Amino acid sequence: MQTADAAHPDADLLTAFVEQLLMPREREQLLAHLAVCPDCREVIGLVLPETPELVVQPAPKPAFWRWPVLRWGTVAASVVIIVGAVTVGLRERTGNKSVTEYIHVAVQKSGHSASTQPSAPGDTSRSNDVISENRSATGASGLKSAQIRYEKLPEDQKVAARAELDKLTMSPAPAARAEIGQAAMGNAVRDTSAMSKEELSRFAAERAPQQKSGWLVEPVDPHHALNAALPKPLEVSKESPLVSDVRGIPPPPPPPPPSSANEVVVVKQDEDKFAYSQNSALGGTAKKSATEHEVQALPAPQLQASSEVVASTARHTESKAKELRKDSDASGFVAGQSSDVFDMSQDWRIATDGELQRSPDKGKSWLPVMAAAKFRSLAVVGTEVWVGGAKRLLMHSIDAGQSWMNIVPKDKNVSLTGDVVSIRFADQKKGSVVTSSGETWTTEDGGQNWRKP
Amino acid sequence: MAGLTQTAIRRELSAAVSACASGLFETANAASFGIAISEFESWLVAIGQKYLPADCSQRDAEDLLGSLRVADLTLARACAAGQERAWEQFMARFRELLYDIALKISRESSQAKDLADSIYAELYGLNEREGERVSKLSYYMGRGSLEGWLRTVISQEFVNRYRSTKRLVSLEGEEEEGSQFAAPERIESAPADSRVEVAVAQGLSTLDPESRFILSAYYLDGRKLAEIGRMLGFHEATASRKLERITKALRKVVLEGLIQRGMTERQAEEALEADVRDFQVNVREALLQEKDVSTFKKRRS
Repeated sequence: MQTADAAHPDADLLTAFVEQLLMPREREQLLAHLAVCPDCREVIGLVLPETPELVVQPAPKPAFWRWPVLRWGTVAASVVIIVGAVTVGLRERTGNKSVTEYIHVAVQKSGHSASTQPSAPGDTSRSNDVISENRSATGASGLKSAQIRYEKLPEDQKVAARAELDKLTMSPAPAARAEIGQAAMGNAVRDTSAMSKEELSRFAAERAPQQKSGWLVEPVDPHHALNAALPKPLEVSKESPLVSDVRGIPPPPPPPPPSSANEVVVVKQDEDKFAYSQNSALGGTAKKSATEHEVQALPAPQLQASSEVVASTARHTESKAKELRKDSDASGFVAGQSSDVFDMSQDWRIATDGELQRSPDKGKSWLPVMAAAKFRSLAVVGTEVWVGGAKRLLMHSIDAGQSWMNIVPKDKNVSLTGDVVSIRFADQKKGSVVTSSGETWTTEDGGQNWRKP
Repeated sequence: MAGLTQTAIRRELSAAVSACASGLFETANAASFGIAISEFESWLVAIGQKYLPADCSQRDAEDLLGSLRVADLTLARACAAGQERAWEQFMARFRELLYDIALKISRESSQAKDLADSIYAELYGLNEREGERVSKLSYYMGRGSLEGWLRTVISQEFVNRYRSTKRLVSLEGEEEEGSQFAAPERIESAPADSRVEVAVAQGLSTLDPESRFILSAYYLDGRKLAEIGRMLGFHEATASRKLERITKALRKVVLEGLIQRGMTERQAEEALEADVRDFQVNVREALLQEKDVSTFKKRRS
């Protein structure tokens, strides 16, 4: 056995040892010396290169494309991205198109140009101007101006004009309504969470005239957004605001049968004249089952746009409704299409004067919602908002107030009566409504069907 | 006998040199430095005579010669002979490297410069021996790379300098210089049974050199397994497994030795398990106290 006092190996041997170049016997002898010689061990330690050149390198990792998980994951991610992009693109296109089409239909029906005089039959030049003008002004500013012009109509003409347009634009109703509502309200429905106080005041002032102009007259008229799609101007005759150039055109074919029992009855509060089913295409009457909402449709419109336009509109709206139904929850309510989504952290309240208010900033400021209407009860579950008021007024929004639907609970041909004084929803499906007449109505499916115990 | 051994070595070596010289001469490009093949062959013979054992075969000799770094050997010998062209190549390759090596070893710039300058002077042959200029490069035998050899030389110089400095440091110097020059730690060993010490020493003697080196490097030097693995040419995990196997084998041998020395099995286990640290202490002491004398280099008459 060697000792530290033995002759130390020369630099060549130590170097060869570090570089793994020694003969086996030499290596054994050197190791025996190194085991007892701290100096030589220290030299070996100093000679070792800093990079572990002598360490066996691990096997190279396979290229990522050889990993099945990454390969298929990449493919799946690409598919998701493409589908999402196509879906978004389709929605944007169809959204704009549907708004434009409704305006087109409304203009066709009215036959009026921007001037106050009704055009002669067959005179479509000014109508085309209006169409192009409206199309170019499809945005909120154009709709707003059309809205203001509608305000100037006499009340009796307003009713008829609105009814005709509602028939055209309502069905298959909620989907298109919400869409048009979004388009009409688009510029007014903005994410206010980032607004300054001055901006918020301006925003409220902009909206206030709209809501006090009669669009949402008492009782609440949820079609105010649709009304905004009316062309400008709507100087209609006493006979009918939408008579002129399309008289004599046969009415459109009857609507397809309802695809589901889910119906939303939109009611004009005062006379229940305008009741529409989301499944009635272009007017007409649809009889519903006892457990469903009763549908009352207006008489067939006196004035219709060309059947082709109407049919295409119906087809479009139906397809759009189907598309939007896919986006809705199981209750069948359709989500809004606007990209201006309210901050979900908004708070809701009913002021002392019955005004429904929304706060985008956790209560620092409050904005009126449907200011023309007065409410007495409120329930909020996530993004779904229920508000109730006088004379069976019950409104429901699934998109934090961007769009609203008027709900009239019915059960076996019996409708809710009285004022809605209390609303309670444990979740999005189960809830109850109590009226001033002592009635309690419950729903298990988010308001699609109601029962009165 | 020695003469016959020398003749035997020369015969096997001569045969190997004859077989390999021409090829190695071309690989070394020795002719570019004006070196004749005869001179080159003399180098090979000298190297063979230094490192080959007495019972080597021609094959062993050829393997040794084939492992030589003949290009570096030629450059070094040409430098040692004072050839300017060789020095130009040497300076171009190693001048900066010398300082870098010294800096990495000493980890301090002034010491690194001092080391590098000292080594450079020795390499250049500024030192004279018996009236002749002797270059340290003449001692390079080509067993490893010239760069590795330079690294080893600098390391040896560093160890020699500062180890001798440590031995001579005063008490005040220890306080001023800090732990670098502090006295080595005293190993405190528990008052163990002398039979344990003997059994441990006996157990160590049964281990192969690599195992002993691993134990010394781990227990005496405090080196990490990764470093030990790099020294020996395998992965850290391999070093870990080897250490564990060595420790278990040593423990087993020690237990058997204690039993042979009159302990019962239980007493032997208790002697080792009473304090695990004691076992390590015993190993360290046994490694430090190896006494068998045998020179590493075979002395040739």
